[in-house]
Amino acid sequence: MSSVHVNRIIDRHGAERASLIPVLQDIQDDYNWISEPHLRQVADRLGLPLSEVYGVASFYRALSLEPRGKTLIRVCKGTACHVRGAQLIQEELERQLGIQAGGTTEDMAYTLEVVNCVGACGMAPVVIVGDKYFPGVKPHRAKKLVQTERDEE
Amino acid sequence: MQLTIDDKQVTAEQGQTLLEVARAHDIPIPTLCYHESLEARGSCRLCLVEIRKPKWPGWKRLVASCVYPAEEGLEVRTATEEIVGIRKTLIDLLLARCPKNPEIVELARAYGIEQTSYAVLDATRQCILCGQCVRVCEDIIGASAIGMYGRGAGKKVGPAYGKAAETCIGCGACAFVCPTRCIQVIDEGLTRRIPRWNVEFELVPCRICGKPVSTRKHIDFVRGRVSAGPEVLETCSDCLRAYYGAKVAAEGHM
Ligand code: SF4
Ligand code: SF4
Ligand code: FES
Ligand code: FES
Repeated sequence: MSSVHVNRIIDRHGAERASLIPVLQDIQDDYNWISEPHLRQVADRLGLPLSEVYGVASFYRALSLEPRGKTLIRVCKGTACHVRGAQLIQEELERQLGIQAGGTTEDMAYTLEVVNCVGACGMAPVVIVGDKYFPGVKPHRAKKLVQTERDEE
Repeated sequence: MQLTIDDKQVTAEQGQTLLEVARAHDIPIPTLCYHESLEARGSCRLCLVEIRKPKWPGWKRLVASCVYPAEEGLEVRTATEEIVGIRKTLIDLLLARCPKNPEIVELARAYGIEQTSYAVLDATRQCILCGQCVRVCEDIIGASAIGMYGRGAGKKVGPAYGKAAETCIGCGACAFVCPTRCIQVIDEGLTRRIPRWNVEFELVPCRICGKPVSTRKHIDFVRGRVSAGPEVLETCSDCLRAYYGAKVAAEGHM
């Protein structure tokens, strides 16, 4: 069964090799991850070997081959953020969400990820919730980040 | 054109790489990611050599000989102290990656390294991620059954999703080019297995002697591309040679 939505994404970019990355990005945006059937559909329609499409999809950090939660929480653990206590923030978020870094909550609401430098070292330590950047985060505020998000739901 | 390799005067043709010129003159240069049937990629850096140009005194560079084209008048050195030192570091790192792989262990010994000086993360690893298996499968065979996945330290070679390599035809070309011989092709009776790619195939026996020729899938794959019938495709190379030999002897032509 091929997905109508994925077909539409492919039609929008054109069923050709050069469309591979924009197509994968759009699938990622719309579903928060790229499932195996979707990846196969892309390979089929663009006429590319599955091995190649899988290679590309597994290379980029922005693309996920595992289900991701609705909101992605990224804790920066680059050098600047690390020395300003990112480890404690990570641990606090892991406790709050009940998952390990890299994991997704059971209700598919959150995925917690550790990243290395997001180019905002002056604001270290940085946490990014969805597309909002939070500068100078303190561990006790890390707790609040999740709570505010939850309240906004 | 003329150039020197290790002070020996050698002749090269336009378009030849330094490695090809050296090999043509029996000058040894170690390689891991090079295979004459594949386009060179210059990824292992083991084949590195020093080049100098007489018209630029004092200038020198270290280049990968498998990708560097021969040039008129170039002075090439294949084993200076500096080069051997760099090669040792590279081999030491490879040994840390594959501490038990016989090919790598042997290479390390040849450079006087018994044990790696780096941390070993996983002693069972056998693959150096040179990508030759992927390239032969894609560029020469045309099956594209395997690929390089992930990035950085987590990079892997294999079929998508770690499942069975669906488009693999069981030709064994990947095993043939693998420099660490870490892809096993196991033939038992009329079954071929390549456990690394999670695949199993039926082998076709030679119509004359019964010895396995290749996999059914490989033969069907070839049949789709060449105009040869089963009497050729399903006969092993020894019997084919004997058949054509006898034919030429009797009729004077094939
Ligand atoms: S055996 Fe399979 S994976 Fe290896 S080169 Fe042949 S088709 Fe490709
Ligand atoms: S399996 Fe062999 S050929 Fe393939 S990348 Fe690893 S070492 Fe290279
Ligand atoms: S280290 Fe965190 S933004 Fe640079
Ligand atoms: S043989 Fe590997 S870089 Fe040249």
